[in-house]
Amino acid sequence: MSEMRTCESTGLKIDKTAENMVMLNVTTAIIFLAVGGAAALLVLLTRWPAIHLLPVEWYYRWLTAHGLVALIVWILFFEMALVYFGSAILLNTRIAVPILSKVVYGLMLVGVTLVAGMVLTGNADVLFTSYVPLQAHPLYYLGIILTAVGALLGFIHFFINIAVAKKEGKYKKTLPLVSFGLMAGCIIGIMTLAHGAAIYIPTFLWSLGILESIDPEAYRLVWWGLGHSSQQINVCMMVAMWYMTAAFLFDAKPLSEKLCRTAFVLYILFINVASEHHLLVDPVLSTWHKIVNTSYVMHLAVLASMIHAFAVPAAMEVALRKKGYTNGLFEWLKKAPWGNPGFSAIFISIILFGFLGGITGVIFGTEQFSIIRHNTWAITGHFHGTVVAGTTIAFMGASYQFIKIFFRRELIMPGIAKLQPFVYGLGIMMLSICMMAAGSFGVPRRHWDYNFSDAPFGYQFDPTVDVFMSLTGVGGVIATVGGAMFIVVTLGSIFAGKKIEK
Amino acid sequence: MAIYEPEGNWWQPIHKDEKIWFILALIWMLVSFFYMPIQHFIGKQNPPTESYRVSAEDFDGLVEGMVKKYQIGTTGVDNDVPLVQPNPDEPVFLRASMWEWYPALRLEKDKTYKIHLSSMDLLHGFSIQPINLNLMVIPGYDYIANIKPTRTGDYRILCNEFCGVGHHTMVGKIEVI
Amino acid sequence: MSDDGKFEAPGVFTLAIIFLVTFIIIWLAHAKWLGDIWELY
Repeated sequence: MSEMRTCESTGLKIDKTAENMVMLNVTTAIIFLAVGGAAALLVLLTRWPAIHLLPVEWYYRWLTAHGLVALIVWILFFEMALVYFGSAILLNTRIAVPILSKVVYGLMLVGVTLVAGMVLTGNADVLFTSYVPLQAHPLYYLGIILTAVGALLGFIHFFINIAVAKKEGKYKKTLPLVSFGLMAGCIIGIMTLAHGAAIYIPTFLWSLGILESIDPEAYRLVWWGLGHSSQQINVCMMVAMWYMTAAFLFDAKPLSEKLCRTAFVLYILFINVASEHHLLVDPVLSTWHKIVNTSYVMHLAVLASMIHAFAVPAAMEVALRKKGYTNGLFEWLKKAPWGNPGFSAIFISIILFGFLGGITGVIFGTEQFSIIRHNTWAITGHFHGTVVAGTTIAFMGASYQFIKIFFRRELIMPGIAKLQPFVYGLGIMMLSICMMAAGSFGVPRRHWDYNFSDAPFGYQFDPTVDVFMSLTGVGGVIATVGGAMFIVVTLGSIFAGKKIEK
Repeated sequence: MAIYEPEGNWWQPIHKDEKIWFILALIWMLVSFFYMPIQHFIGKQNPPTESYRVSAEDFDGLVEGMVKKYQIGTTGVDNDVPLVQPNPDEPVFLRASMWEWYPALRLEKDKTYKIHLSSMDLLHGFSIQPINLNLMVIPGYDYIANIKPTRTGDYRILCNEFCGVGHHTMVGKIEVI
Repeated sequence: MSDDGKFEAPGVFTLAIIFLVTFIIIWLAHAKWLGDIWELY
């Protein structure tokens, strides 16, 4: 039986093994964020016309690496930390199967290493989506399968933990809201990885020559059942982090637990569809199929996001008004703890996810609007508004809070830490908006040269495009600086920050 | 709070501001949803819905048949793709492959063409610029787009789906007269 | 937890309305841009 300690600031009874797994996964995640960020820099300096850094093959290679590491690996390791947080620590209980948590970590680490090795040695120049008939080396697919199996076991472990916790009376009728949100993420996670198995196992067999062919359109349909749904895990867990922050920093209560929980149920019911917004201008699928699916069933899951994006800041406003900041509409906001990066990152994430990512997501995912945006850089701008400005910044905010609560360290360089969410947020906002502007003029995504050198027919975009391409580069560099600030502050604090004695 | 199990009966009525927000958001969500099916009845830009399976050889045969019948010249560029002016009453076949769009087309304004799209090898992205009309081109499938050019001019077909190192050289041409 | 007609979070409500209006404006812009391209069925 492992030891428990009581956290003085939150009152939680924390199991040592669970806490170690949170710390291990958060640290690993941040290291991978650094790798993904370095890949981002290489890629953005290539599309910045004045620099055009990488030669053509290496551009697509680092682009593959960037997609995998920044979009999947950094986030998945962080989400494994959240599994232990939501199912053990928040319930004041232990991990049910400690050996399983080590197996999960090991599988993911081995899988990711295999994938990285294959990509950087030129054996998987297929981009993160690896659309068939593009084919990578079998070990690439094997690496992904190992990572996915690890993560799947991790999500299943969440349920094992809460079942044991229920049996031992750690909660009576229902999970705390944050755990409820993380649970919604785990449900979607299991569904996501089932799609992953369904597509990667046959593709792996095809790369070995055991299966003769894979239908390219079937691949797209099933792959995006993995690809997009994995982003919906992110949405649930990001929102859970928003609620957690409101509770930790303000003792804030959601105005209506009923509404928030219903919103998470809407996610569980409807967020599993929607992957077909990647296929809106594809052959084969019928119009009704596309419309019902892309809308997350009549935009009901989007409604859930709109509920959360209201409920969380509203809870903070109520809590701050209770503290006395009742002057006018926004005194509470002005007096909020903007100097605490745990707070500022979360609030920036709420605003940017909604305005940048959410609005453009619904619009580009509209069957007809997809015609003028599909495969343009506008799509890239959209998802940097969701998964970077939303999820990544939220996980950054959570990291700062975890460093205090679990690593029990003070932040090093507090001046830098204070500015970090703003620098990163500004950079990503600029990047996202300028990508969307360039894309609205037709600039393609995943494309090495928008001047089309060596093409039989030349084409010049509207000259405004050159401005947006350069400004995207500027935004990206600012974001890289903000990202580096995060890596230095967090890893520095984790390993060398002043210990908090409690 | 959100980090503790809620106490007592939490299934309570919703506050006024959350209720109003919920209703406004719901209305807007339903409007943005119903726009999609309604556009199929009254709108002029909708993703095409007709597609068939086709082998690369068969599709290539159809492309060459059209080129033989309606070629009016060559384009004189590096890959010397033929320039074809199809009859608007007959199907048009456009072939995508690494790394060209074949053939180049001359179309007439305000005529509707049934354009068949397929690929000989990998996925490609059919992207007409500068109007920014984008469709997917899938090997093994014939995707049929009914397109009516509404303005004259010299247009380009870009490829916007990654298809290897020559991806950025894959540019085709449509003239509208 | 009763509904007494008072706004609990008037600041956030204001921000939410600004969000909704921004959403609608950008959406309408895309509807206009879509109408400018060739006809497609």
